[in-house]
Formats: sequence, structure tokens, C-alpha cells
Amino acid sequence: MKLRRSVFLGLLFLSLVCSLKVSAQSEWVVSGRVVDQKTGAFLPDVYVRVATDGSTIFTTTNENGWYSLRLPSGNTELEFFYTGYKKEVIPVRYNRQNRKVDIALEPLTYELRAAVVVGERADYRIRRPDMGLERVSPKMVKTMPVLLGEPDLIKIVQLLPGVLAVSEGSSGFIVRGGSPDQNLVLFDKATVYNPSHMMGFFSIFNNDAVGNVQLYKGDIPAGYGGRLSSLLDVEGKEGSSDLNITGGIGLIASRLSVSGPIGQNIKWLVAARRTYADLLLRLSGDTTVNGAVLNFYDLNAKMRWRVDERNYLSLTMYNGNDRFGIREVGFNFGNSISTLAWNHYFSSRLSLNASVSGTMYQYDFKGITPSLESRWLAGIKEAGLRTDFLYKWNEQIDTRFGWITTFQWFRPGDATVAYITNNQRYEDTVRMYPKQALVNTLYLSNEHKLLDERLIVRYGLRLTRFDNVGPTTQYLTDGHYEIIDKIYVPYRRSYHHEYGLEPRLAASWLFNERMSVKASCSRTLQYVHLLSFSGSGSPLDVWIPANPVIKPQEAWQYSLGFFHGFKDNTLQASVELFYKDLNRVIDFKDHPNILLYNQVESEIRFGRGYAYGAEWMVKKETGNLTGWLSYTWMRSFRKIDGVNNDQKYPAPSDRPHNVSIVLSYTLPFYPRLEASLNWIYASGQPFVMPEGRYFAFSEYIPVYSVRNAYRMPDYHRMDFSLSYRLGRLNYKFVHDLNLSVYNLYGRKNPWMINYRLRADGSQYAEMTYLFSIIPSITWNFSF
Amino acid sequence: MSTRILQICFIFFLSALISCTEVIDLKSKSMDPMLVITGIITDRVSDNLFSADENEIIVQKTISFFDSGMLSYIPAPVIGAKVWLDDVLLSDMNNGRYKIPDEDFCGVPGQTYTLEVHYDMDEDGIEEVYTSSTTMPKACQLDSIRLMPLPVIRREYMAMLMLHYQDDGAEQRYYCAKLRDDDNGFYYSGRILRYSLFRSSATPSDNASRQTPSGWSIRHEMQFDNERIYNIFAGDLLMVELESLSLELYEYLSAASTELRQNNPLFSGPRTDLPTNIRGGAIGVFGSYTTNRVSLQIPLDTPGLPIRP
Repeated sequence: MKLRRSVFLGLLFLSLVCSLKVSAQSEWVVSGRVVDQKTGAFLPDVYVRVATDGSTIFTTTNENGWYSLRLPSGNTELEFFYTGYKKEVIPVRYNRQNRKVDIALEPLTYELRAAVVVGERADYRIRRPDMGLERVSPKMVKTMPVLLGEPDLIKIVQLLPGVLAVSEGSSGFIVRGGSPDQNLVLFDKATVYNPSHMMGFFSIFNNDAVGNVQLYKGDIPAGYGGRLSSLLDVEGKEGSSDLNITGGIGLIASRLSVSGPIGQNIKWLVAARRTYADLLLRLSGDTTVNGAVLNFYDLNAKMRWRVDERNYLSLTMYNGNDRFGIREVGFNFGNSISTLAWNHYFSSRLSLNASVSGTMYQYDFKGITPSLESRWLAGIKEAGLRTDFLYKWNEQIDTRFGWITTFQWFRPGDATVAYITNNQRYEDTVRMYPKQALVNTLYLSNEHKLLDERLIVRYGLRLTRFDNVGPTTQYLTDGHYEIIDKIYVPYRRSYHHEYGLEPRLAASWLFNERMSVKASCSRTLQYVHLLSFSGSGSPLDVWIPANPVIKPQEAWQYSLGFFHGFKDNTLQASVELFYKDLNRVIDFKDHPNILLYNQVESEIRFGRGYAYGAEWMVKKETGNLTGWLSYTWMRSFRKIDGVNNDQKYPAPSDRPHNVSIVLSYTLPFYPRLEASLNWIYASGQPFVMPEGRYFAFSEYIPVYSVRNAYRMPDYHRMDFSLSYRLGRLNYKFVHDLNLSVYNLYGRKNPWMINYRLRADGSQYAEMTYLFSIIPSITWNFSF
Repeated sequence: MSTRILQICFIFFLSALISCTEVIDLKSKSMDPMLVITGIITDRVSDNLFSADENEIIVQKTISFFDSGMLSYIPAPVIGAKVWLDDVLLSDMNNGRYKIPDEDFCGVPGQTYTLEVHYDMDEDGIEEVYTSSTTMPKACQLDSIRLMPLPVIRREYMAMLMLHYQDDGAEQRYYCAKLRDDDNGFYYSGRILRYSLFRSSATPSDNASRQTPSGWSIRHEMQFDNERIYNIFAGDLLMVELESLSLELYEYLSAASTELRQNNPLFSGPRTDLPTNIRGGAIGVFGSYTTNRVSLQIPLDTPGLPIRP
């Protein structure tokens, strides 16, 4: 450990020395911002290069569309490439002073865009040093087959190599053998603690309100952390330069988004989505049925204000809720998210992204009758402040640094049951002690392009101080998980803290324009834990912070990848290998109490885990036929004292073979019609099966195998969709019909397996499956 | 207790969303037989109203899970074991059951009982020794039971049975309540899933009177497994037995209740074996409880509940 730290510190020092040396050279700098001409949205990863044959001077825009290029003296021309947009060539006159060149790229027409699935530079996977980085665009989500007519970002993420759905229909996902709680999901920099609707069948992300999406499966940038396995960074869609109305009417939900400008400098977007199953239930003559509530909704709003050339403000707000119930009993859960961000450009070299954000997830289960009232509340809130600086020393060296402060309020659960008899009220209350945590983080990251930009090295360090803060009551345990004491902590008192160092190192070697090899190593720490005994994630999941007893989880991940492009990099092949070493991962003792139980410290067990595997992928991002084919082989194990007789066992995410085929095809001779198909195969989920039984207390009592010794039948499914463009092709009013069939060949994938008793005393297994063939139709429009 | 009620309501509520079941052919490995010892000591002579296995020890072996068996029958009884309760050698009934010779035996609250079983499980000619012990809890006091009406759905009568009992909160105690309808001999709590298991908090109080919902919703058509339905009528006499359990028995029954319930991935973790307090390599449980019973006649004028024909 000491050696690793020394190496990282040494590299950091070396980078700073190199930075100072290179920046002393005398050249001129062109910088600026690249945006979408229609929507004004910042375009990341636009390829900017000197338009001279053989020139190797190039760069790419950052996530705010910003680029900076150091040029030799003299006039020149700059080329701007971005898939899905017209290429631009801009003459730039030499100026001793640095120059600013902003540009708005024009999107290709609808007919062509329908054939171009992605919106980022096609060969970023070859050029960028990021390992395990995948991108998903709203266009990709829109073209894929959907469940019940609702395009869903997370369902596409689950098709990426190394990623799997936790279970059928779930919005939870596992990345490279991790756990569902090990994924950091951000929406415009605010944490999303439960991104699901309808028990996970849909995610909270309304595709009309979502911009670019990036999934980091391993090499998470130093500016982000707090989870072991992945970062899913979702950007809210920005408003357009013209008034634009987009929407869709589906079988169970409809959505509408309106965006436009206010003057020259403000762009806004408002989007809403709601299901209406309960509106149909009201037609029933049964008073129980027609009084039922069964819906979810999302409200998104985003505004960006260009204050002046150097200052941009943006505000993102989200509110979504699920509501189920009949007259007397109801269950609500939902998220509220808001972010206020300020971009400031001090100079062509130095920029700042500062943001304050708030997020809240809570559930509320209540029942009220004349004689019985019950209520169960739980949730989590987080307020965050972050500043991210980017300093471009030159085209070869970028430095990112900043700090992040977050305060978290955990409300693991309050439940009250009140009985009313003879006008008297008796209350029975269970209140889990609230918890608070303060997390402060400093980070520094450098990216160097060396050796004629063939070698790109990125390294960084993240330093975190985590504090448990009162008021709360904290239970303490001995080495055998027995509660030995409890302490009361007053308001605002920090009673425990942890420091964590998280080094990150990544390098890529570009053999030529078509071939690269990459490697990365990173350490991540996780200071929050999900109290979930669920196999698929549920709205009742509760988060708790690390504390003196429950230590932060730790992961080291090592990756190696080889990337090759064919046909001008429009077809890319890659293989990535990974090994993940997990420490202090948690599991639960047998038959634990975790819901509404204060002494969870005695229910949790800690141990080690490891996962390894390889991901093969062939991806085509341009042309009439787009999509990818991937195969992932991975294994994941845990060894936790007190679980499975202290023996190693396969983790729930241990599903060795995964295949995804994702294809989208536009008929070249009939561009109105677009067909998409995906097929997924995954090894069965490991599970525990009874091997023996005996008779006691008038029951047959099962005797089980060791943990996860068996597998459910393999999972596979094919989905298909046809999208037919209606109306005139070159008319502003664009509308289409999307016909989707989920689970095209009606595969009955087991969701759960239970054991039933026949009248003769013999037992049999019974599986429950959620979906057979599910067709749906959606009408989408935009004008 | 409120926790459990809320969880039951929630799971019931969500289970409506789940459908489509199908028999699936699964093969599990056959396991080597394991020795199973179960035994309950109570503070009264068993009358078989609420349990048939009191004040006796059952010794058996496990069978493969998918092997056929007979309900109410021990599929692989162990005959010829030597079983001692304290210093008393129990009588081998030649069906896996070992009876206390004194037919009027009653356990005493607060007393610790030790169990010792000798049996050559591995058939090497040497008997293995299996031991356990249990301390009988304090006597419990069930004062009354009461029907608390719940919202009427589709004009059906439904009420939650409330339990009123005494507990001074001096220590954490563990309870099991069982229900039967004496008018038709319907023993509702004939399965562990229909036990009402709960624990009281250790919060000393001058007022020892407590109440808790049993978790049983009383209605005309009480559905049982295998689609059997028992009818309850206005005027029926409901009898409840409250048992104060030893900790090991409570943990065993609670775990059994979890394992016998439907395994729903939204709310369930991996299945695991039941805890045991049998030492020496056998599984099962040796526990004890004290008991108390009360009855309640459902009023004849209960709306929505017909009178017995």
C-alpha cells in the first residue's frame, strides 16, 4: 500500500513539473465552445483539429463543449467533427493575443439522423484514455424496443457489456460483478438514491428530458466517488433555441416536453410524464377498484442562462413520485432533485464548474381506518456543494481539481400503528435513530498527452474525510457482532471520522488512428450502505452511513483493454479485462432483522469479495445499420465470516456468460421505417435450493444447499420494434408510430422460485415469471 | 409488532402485482441424511388442542427434498436412540417419538432442562452424543382478545384479532399466539405460517397491560392452503393460546416462518437453514414455553358475518 501511494505521489509531482516546463513555450492559443446549433446544448468530445494534411494538432471538447488548442504562429483552419452533425471548417487568423472561436454545429436532418444512432464522436472509445466508458444517447434510447411503450435509459444501460439487470424488469443494475448499491447515479451532479418507478419496471429518467449519459464501469474520474463499481452520469437535456414541443402517447403513460428560449441568452425546458392506469380503473363499477390509485409521474425543468461570455448559470429540478393505494391504504415513494450550477471561464485556460445540489428520496406507507391507523416513513436527503476547476496548461496537459462537500440525512424508518377503541387511542411506535454524515473531498487529476499524443496518461488522487454527526444513538459491538454498548450523540457533534485516499491511474497508447491499448488502476471507497435484503431492489431499501462499527467498503480495480477500429473507425472492436478486489463488503447474517430495527450493527457481516472477467464488443455507430454485439464473461465471489459457514460463495451477480445484441436498421430505400432488435442472454442467477427436508411442527422443514450452489434457468429475451415516420418528411411537425414487442418469443424467465406442497406430502418447484409477450404502441411527435 | 403488521400489509398489497406461475422441473443433489432432533417442554399436560408434539422428543433423519412423504407423518424416524431429559430416559415409541414416562409431566417456569441423545448416526459402531438445553420462560398472562373491524371490502366482514396481555417489560420476551374455532374444530394455526409470532420490548413500565394485533384477519371465508376454505360464523367461539417462548424456539419458529413463506425477490434474501441449539452435529430445536388461553364468542349481530346454519 505504501509503495502504491509513493508511486502516485511521485507521478503527481512529476506532472506538475512537466506542466510548468511545457507551459513556458511561446505559441498562441485558440479556445472556444462548441454547441448544438438547434438546441444550444454543449457538445462534448467534438474532435477539433488543424485542417492541414498530416497535422497531429488536435483536441476534443470537454463536457461543457469547451476546447483549447495551442497553435504555431500563422493563419490556419480548424476542422470540427462530430457524429450526427455537419463538419465545419473555420479559418482562423493569426493573432498574438489568444483568440476565442465559438461555433454552433448544425445537426444533420431528421432523415439522416434516424440512421445515425449516436451523438458523440464515433471513435472516442479508441482515442480516449478512459477505461470501461460507455455512452448512451437519447436517440439510442428512443430507437430501442421498449417495455409498455416507455423508452427507458437504464434498460439500455443494462444491455452494455459488463452490465446486467438485477432481475427481470428491474431498474437496478450490477456492473462488473458488483452490487446494485455500488453504482453512483447522478442527474446533473445530484445523487439519485433510487432511480426507479413501479417497483423498478421503469426508471425515473424521462427520455425527453435527458441529454448525454456516460457510464464509467471502472476508471471513475477522481472528481467522483463514493461508490465502488460504477458512475452513471446523466445530464439533463437543455432547452432549445426555438420553441419546441415533444411528446408521446403510450399505452400506460404519456409525456410532453416544451422547450424554448427567453431572449437570446436563456433556454429552458419543462417536461412531464404520467401513467394513467388509475384513470382507467375509475371506469369500473366496483367501488374498491375505482377508488384505487396506481400511477407515477415525473416533472423535469431545466434552465440555462448565458449571463455573459464568461458566465453561465443553469438550474435543474426534478420531482417524481409513485402512488399506489386503495381508499384506506396507500404507498408513495419518490425523488426530488435540484441543482444550481455556475460555469465561469476565468480565461481560455482556467474554468470553473460550481454547483449546489439537493436530493431527497423517501417512502411513505400508510393506512387509515376508523379503528386503525398506521404509517411507515423512511428516506434519505443529501445537500451538496461542489467546485470543479479545469486548467489547461496546453494541448498536452489538463489539470482538474476541486472540492466537494455533502451532508447526508438518513431517516432509516419511523413506523406508528395507532388503535382507536372506545374513543381512546393507543400508539405503538418504532423509530429508528436518524443518522447524519458529512463528507468532504479534495481531488486533483492530471491528464498528459505525451509522445506526439500517442501516449495519454491520466492520474489523480482523491482525499476524503467522512464524519458521522449527531444527533443519533450509536450501537457498538464486540468482535462477535454482539451489541455491547450504545452511545447518545448530541446535535452537530462529530463522533467518528474516516480518512480515505483514492488514487486513480489510467494510460492509453495509440498505436495509430485505429488501434489503442489502455490500462487503468483505481481505488474506490463507499461510505454509504444499502440495507437491502432484496434480490432485486425494492422501494423499501434503506441507506445508512458507515459508522464506528460498519466500516467503509473498499475496491481496487485493475483493467486492461485493447481497441481496434475498422472502416475509418466506424466499426470498432474491443476487449477489456478487469479484476476487482473488494474489502469490507457487506452481507447479512442468516435471517437478519434489517427493516425498522435499530441494532442493524449486529445483523451485518463483513468480508472480502473479488470479481474478474473479460468484455468483448463490436460496435457500429454510423450507417444504416448500427448497434453492437457484446459478450461478457465474468465471475464474482464473496467470502464473509458468518455467512455460508465462512466459506467462499458465488455473489448474486455471478452470472458468467452474458451476450447482448443490439441492432437498429433504417431501410435505405425507405427512410420512414426503422427497425430495432435486441437479444440478451445471461447465465442463470445463482440461488439456494433445498436439498433435504424433515417433519416438525406439522410442517416439512427444508434443509438448504450451501449459499448460491445452484442457478436458475438461463435468462434470454428478444425485443423488437418498428418505428414508422408519419406525415411529410421535410415538415417541421415530425411524428411517428413506434410498435414494440417485449419478449418477442415469449420466454418465461423465472423471477422467483418457490416450493409447494402437494396433498400427498410431496414437494414441487414453482416459478413465477413477470412478462410473456408484451406488445405496445406509442405515438411520438415533435414540432 | 407494528413492524410486522406493516410488512404483511405491504407484501400483501404488492403481491397483487405479481402473476403467472408455472411448475418447473428442478433437480437438487441428494444430500447425506442428517440427524434431526426436535422437542418442546411446556408448563401443562398436552391436550392436543394447539400442538400434538408437546412434552416429547422427536428424532428423525432428513430425506431428499423432492422425495415423497406423508403429511402428519415423520418420513424417516430414528428408532433405537437413547434419549434423556435431565436424568430421565424417555420411552421409545418406535416411530421416532420419545415420550416422557410420567404422563402428567409439566415443565416449571424458570427451570432449565437438558437433553441428551445417543445415536450411532455414522454407523461406525460408536454412538454419537447430541446435547441441548432450554430454560422455560416465566408464565404469561393473556387477558382478553378482541375483534377490531377493518374496512369492509366487497361487503365482507373483516376484523383484526387483537391480543391484550400482561408484560411488565422487565426483560425482552418472545411470544407465539395460536387460534382455533372451537365450534367447527377448525385449528387455524395448524401451520407455522399462521402462528402469530412477536416479541415485546424490554421497557419496564408500571402499566403491564399491552395489546398487539395478532395479524389474523377474521372473516367468513378463512382460506387455507391447497384452496381449502373454512367458514367462521357469527356466534362461533374463538380460542387463542398465547405462548411465552424460550429464545431459541422463537428464533427457530421465526426463521421457519420466513423460509416457508413465498420467496419474493423484492423482499427476500437468500434462503438459509434454520438456527439450531442442538450440539454435536444434529439440527433441529429443543425449546420450551409457558401457555395461557382465552376465548371470545363472536357476537351474533356482527354485520356481514352469517349465523351458523
